Amino acid sequence: MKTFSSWFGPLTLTLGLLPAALGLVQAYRIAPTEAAGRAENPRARVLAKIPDDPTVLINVKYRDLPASPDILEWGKRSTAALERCLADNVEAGIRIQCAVMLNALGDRRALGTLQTALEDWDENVRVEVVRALGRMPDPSSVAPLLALYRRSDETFSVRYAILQTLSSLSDQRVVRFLRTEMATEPDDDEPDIRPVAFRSLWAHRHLMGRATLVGDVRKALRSDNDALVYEATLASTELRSNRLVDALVPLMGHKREGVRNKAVYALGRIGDRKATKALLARLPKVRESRMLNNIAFALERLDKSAFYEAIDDLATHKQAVIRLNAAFVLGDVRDPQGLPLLKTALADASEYVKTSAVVAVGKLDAADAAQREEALRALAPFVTGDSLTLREHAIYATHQLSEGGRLDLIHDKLFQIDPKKYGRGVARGIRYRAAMALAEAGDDRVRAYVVDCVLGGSCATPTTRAYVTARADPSLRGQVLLGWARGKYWLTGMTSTLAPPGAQPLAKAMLEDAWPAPRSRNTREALLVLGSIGDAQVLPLVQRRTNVRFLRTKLQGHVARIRLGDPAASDDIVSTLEQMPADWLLAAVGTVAAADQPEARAALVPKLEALQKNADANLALAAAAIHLRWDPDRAVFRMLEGLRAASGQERRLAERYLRRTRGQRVTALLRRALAREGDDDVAARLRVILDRRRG
Amino acid sequence: MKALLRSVARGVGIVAALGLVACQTGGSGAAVGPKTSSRDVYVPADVARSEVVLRVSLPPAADCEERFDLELYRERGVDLIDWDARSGCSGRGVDITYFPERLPEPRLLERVRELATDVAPAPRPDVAPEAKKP
Repeated sequence: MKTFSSWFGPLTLTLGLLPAALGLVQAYRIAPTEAAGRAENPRARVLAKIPDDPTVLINVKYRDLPASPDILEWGKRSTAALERCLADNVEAGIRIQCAVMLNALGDRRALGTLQTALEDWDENVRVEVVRALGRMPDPSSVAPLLALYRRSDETFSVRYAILQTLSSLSDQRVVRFLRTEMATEPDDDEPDIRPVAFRSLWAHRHLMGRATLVGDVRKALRSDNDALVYEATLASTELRSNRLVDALVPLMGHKREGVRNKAVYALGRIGDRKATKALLARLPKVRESRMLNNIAFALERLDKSAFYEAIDDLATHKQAVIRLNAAFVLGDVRDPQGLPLLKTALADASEYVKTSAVVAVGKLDAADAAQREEALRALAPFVTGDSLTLREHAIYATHQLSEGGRLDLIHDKLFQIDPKKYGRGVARGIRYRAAMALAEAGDDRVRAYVVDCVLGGSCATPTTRAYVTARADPSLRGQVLLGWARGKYWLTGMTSTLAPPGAQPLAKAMLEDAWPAPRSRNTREALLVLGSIGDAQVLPLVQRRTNVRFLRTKLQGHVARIRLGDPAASDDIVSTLEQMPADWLLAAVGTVAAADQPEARAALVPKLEALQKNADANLALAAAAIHLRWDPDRAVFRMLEGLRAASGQERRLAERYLRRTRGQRVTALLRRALAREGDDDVAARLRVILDRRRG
Repeated sequence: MKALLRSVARGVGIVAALGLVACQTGGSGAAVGPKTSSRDVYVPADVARSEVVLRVSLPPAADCEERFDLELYRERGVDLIDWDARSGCSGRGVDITYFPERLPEPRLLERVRELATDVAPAPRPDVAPEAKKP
């Protein structure tokens, strides 16, 4: 017993400490590995070395390759490492990734490496390399690309990529090559590449004489390849040459609906009266509404009297769907001459035809009070009628005809609709549409409704946000701030504009809270609000936040700095833009354009004007697009210069930015430019931009 | 004699140059050099501008406003045509900025009358502030 008791104490102690001891051993064995994992994660290690060590990606395995967005955050500082990766890494999958990233960067320093990589043994690498060369068009790429295309052992996918890339090169050698390809009939066992060759040739249209171009399009319209014919109908709309009419007319009966519609649309745009007879002959054979509308619109442009004769037949057709479309066309034409036909449609047995006619009457442009009265009288029975659908449309049509003078009807008969009578779901939709119309007209009676739906996110449009902002009292400001703090980011703009008390400390706290996640949405939103409120006290914090490698956060931070009154940020904004991947510049334009305070603009505009002359079209046009948002009268000329640039890539970029920049003033400037443009190609591009802005 | 030789040499040079251009363009039917004859140009902000505010009705068409603009902008003396926020073709408010040095007001009004079906002077158009913004 004595022996047992003498052992009991040490034994219990040993057993009690055993788990701890085992834990320590385990910790000793595992901890170094984990520590190494955290500190020396192979991907993180590789990523960190990219800007300083061009060889870092040469021996990297696929599992250790950092994610593309992480590498791209280094911007053009990663170009050298990606070049070496493309040249020297033996894993084809990795070379593909590196070529894709070089494409995203658009850094012309990689041109030589990419041209050499056209000899890569892997087909998929070559495809990506070819695409990347399209991002940095250069005359020195023409010969190697054409040589690769002509190799008898080259694959279809590489050839296809080459044809696509050639569209960016803007070179006479390419024009000659593509025209030869277009003229060559494909072998039976080979895929027909003519549609893509045509698209590339079309991208070179500014280098071709008009007669040659029209001839090539005519030939394509008569081709046996449907895809090629479709491309050619699109080109015909832009070319608007009378010489294309006879090739387009037979296409109204093409087996493909897309071709039929585009052919009719092109005929309408060309505006040659020769097409009238063919359009009229086609009309009775039409079987789809889009085609019917396209023919009617084309006729309206070509020959008004022929149009009214034809539409008369359609408006009294035996089939309701045709009568419905006739009413739709009459509305879009807007001519009060169509009112008698629409009055007939208002008495139609079909409710669909009646609805289409009611909407159309609302669109008519009454030239005088008598015409307006007549149209309003025609609508009156529907405003009080039994059909809810017709009543709703009739009220809006009446409002429209009265030049916005019937808000009372919208409020009393639609916004205050009784859900018990018509059902909750139906009433909800009617009420919502009425509230939006009343808000657009600035009617205060829907304030509570619109505030609720903006705060809830179900109707946060620029119009409703402006409506609510204009009616914000202290309580509403508090609600907006609360919503924003809860992550309702559609309220960021309103929080910035209203600057409710407490917004700045909250945004500051949000930025600090998100410090470990500099790429997070919270970081970007907080920087946006801090910059908008404009209190320079937070400048040191914002400056600290820009000390990261992440280019988008950096840019947002520099923009906040300049809005907070730090003019030195203008140089940093420019250098960040210069570092950015070309792919990101489109979004960066909006970020920088937010810095619209006069002082910020004064500091930035001279720098942007210098950047607009940069040899890199991606960068130059991004700078011009920012400038365009602030001073369209001046900056539009850089865009117009882009439209007439020798480089097809620059022309496309200018088109893209002009399409995306909204505003009535830009539209007016583009119309002025079109009216005075002497270059056919530039005029055609301007016309397309204006059409798309309208559509 | 030297002058004759120089002249012949110059002629040969011109022919060679023309030949080169022909070779460049012949294969592709391509046009060489800019085709531009005219274009819009920037007029500095300090050049005197005047404006007229009108109420006009245009021939009805889906794109009546654009058709009017494209015709009127052919006048180099017109700087900018700014429409009210309404849509449609009748009774539209329009604010036309122009360069009186290049286009006297009577000439401008005459041109507007040619393009519109009805023209009347109007108070400044009732344009929503956001619609006027660039």
